[in-house]
Amino acid sequence: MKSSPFTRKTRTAITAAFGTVLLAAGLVSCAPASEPAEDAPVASEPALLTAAKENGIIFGMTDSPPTTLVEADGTPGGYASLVTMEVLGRMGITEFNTLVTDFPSSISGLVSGRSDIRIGGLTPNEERCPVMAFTKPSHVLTYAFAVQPGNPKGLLSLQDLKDTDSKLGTQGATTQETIAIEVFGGDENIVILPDRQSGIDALRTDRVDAFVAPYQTLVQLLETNPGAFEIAEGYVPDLPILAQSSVVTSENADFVELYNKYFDELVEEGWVEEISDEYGFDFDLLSSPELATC
Amino acid sequence: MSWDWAYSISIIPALLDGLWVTLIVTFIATSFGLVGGLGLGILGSMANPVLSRIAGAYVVIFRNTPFLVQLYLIYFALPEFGIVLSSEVSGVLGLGLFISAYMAEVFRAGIASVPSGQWEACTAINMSKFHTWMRVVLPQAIPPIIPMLGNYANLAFKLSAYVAVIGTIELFGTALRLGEKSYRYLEPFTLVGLMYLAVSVAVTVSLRQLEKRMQRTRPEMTTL
Amino acid sequence: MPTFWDEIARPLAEGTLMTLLVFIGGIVIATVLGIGVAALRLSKFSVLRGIAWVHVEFFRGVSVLVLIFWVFFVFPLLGITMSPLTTAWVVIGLNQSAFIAEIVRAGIQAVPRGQIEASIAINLSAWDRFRNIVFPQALPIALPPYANQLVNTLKETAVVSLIGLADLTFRGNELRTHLGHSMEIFVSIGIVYLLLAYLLTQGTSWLERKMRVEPKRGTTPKQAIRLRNFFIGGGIK
Repeated sequence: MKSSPFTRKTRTAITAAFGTVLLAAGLVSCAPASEPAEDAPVASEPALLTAAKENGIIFGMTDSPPTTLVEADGTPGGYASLVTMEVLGRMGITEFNTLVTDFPSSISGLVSGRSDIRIGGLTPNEERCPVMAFTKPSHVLTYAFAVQPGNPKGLLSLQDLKDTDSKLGTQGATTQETIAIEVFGGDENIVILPDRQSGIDALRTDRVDAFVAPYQTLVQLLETNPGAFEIAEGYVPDLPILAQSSVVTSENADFVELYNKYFDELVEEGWVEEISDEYGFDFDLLSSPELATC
Repeated sequence: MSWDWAYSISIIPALLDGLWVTLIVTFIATSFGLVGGLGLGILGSMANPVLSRIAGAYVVIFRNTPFLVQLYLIYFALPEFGIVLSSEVSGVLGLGLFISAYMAEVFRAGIASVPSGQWEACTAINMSKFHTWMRVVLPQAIPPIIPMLGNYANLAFKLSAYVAVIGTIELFGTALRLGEKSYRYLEPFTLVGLMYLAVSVAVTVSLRQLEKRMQRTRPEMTTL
Repeated sequence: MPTFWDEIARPLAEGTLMTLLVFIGGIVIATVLGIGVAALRLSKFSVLRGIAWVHVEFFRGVSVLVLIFWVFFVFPLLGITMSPLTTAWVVIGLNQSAFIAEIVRAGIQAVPRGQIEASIAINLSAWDRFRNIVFPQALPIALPPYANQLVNTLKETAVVSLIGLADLTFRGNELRTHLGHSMEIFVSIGIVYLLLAYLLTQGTSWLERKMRVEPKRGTTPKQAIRLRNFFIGGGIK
């Protein structure tokens, strides 16, 4: 070893560096070079539809019954799934798969092509509309309070909570939280809860006086927690009503156009109203002028 | 999708803020883990079978279940009993509890490596239990295990990314948020991965150096 | 009225199967790759050693959560799309291979130098040297940390729930959303993980007992040879 000008250590270091470069080069060369865009044939039908007819379509969703969920047999379930499947079924798609993740990943899933359409539960707004293609809203989200049985404090609005110095439970980083902070003028009386069930738990253990959540969520919770709470009368007046749409990436805007056509048909036939009623969504709100859409 | 340098540079300040939060989370959780681990290590080394069993059960449970499940349990299940912790507190607490189980084993091994003659000598000169621990046993048990403890601090650093899953905006959480806003994932995820890698490899390499240096000096330490 | 089986036990059972599927695929990849990387790290050629070093430092240093998100959500943007299950296997396999490589390397390096010198002196070929001298002595040393790594791999599989694979953790989370009772559910799945880890530990310690090297002079560790024969074929005639 004396003949070598390098010690064993420096040699290893040099080769390690060399190895890194090789590995990186290997990885880069593995990635297929971006091919020049071929002239797309004049398509009579959206590209996403053609692909989905052949290989099926993947619904990106969060697990939020009763709007989106996966049935025991692996098929998509819940209100938004049923509506989307009915529309897509009429468009000729027969196979439906799911990718269930939490909320942030449901968007990365769509962007990366892990899912083809992110269904239910996304509100169109100024920020999102230009970058994603939103379908017509399938339902409208309204907020309600879960309160102690009998609503002893008579809480019906955020203002009521403020006036009675009551504590509000809400999930974090949500519209309802932002607005509640505004109305209360601070967050001292706001308890951030990890999920819907812990909202009911916090109510039960007197940590909060009211838990605000989408009305449908509370209906679902009442089924699993019978008698634990009561849903206060009516929608919370100081919270907005939110359109809930499905989205695809912006290059599939043609797909959405076609989707909307079939969706309108279903509305005309009265099918959407029927299933809305069945799930307890307020169908009339879909045509409310207050509703922000794309 | 190709790499956008301008976007990458624009998100670096936000990512560095995230890295700072990650380091704080790691620091608090590791401190918690050291204290808890030392306590458990001492309990586990005790002759009292009940106490050492309890410490043993703690270690077995926390070392053999996924950290993610432990985190969910603290964050989602404790509210059932009226204990509502913020995602940050849940994350730090969960990480601390998890790491303390690993550190407990290291402390226990360190304590066990102190020759029994040392204990006997302490008893012979009538040293109190407390002084035996503080002046004789721990000063000999701890220095040799510092590199091991460092490795687990590094594990805590890597695992801290999980607290983003329950909503803490640390380094990984920042990447998720950025993606949600810009619909770009290539740059945030890649940069974040490199940041974790850089810190972790730097820590590993310096711990190895430390270990080497300690091995060289250890004989003098033990013959003190 | 849905039964307990339909509503709770079946999802958890299915989740356990998925966890096992991810675990087995991951650990097979990790073990094979880990042994390969360990061989490279001990190679005569510094280029190979360098590559192995990079592999180990990279995959030990990266956070597995970040890595799986990167492979799952960023690779498709670069034109590489693997199914969720394949992604899980590849990521867990690569990540764990780094740890296993170090375990294997430590095991091999713990074989006393004199053993190898002696076997060179009696003219054993490199392969025979490995098969008959190094392997039987390295295996008992590497097994306990390997057992530990098995448990770590099992725990690590929980990360796949975040890319939509319906493993035990995913199912637990799903039940929490649908039924409430978070404490009961998470404690139950914790117990399943504990049981699986216990079985893994028991299995490997049984193996260890089977091949413990008795420190008697002049005897060969019979069980180790039998295992060696099982894994890589017969010894010197």
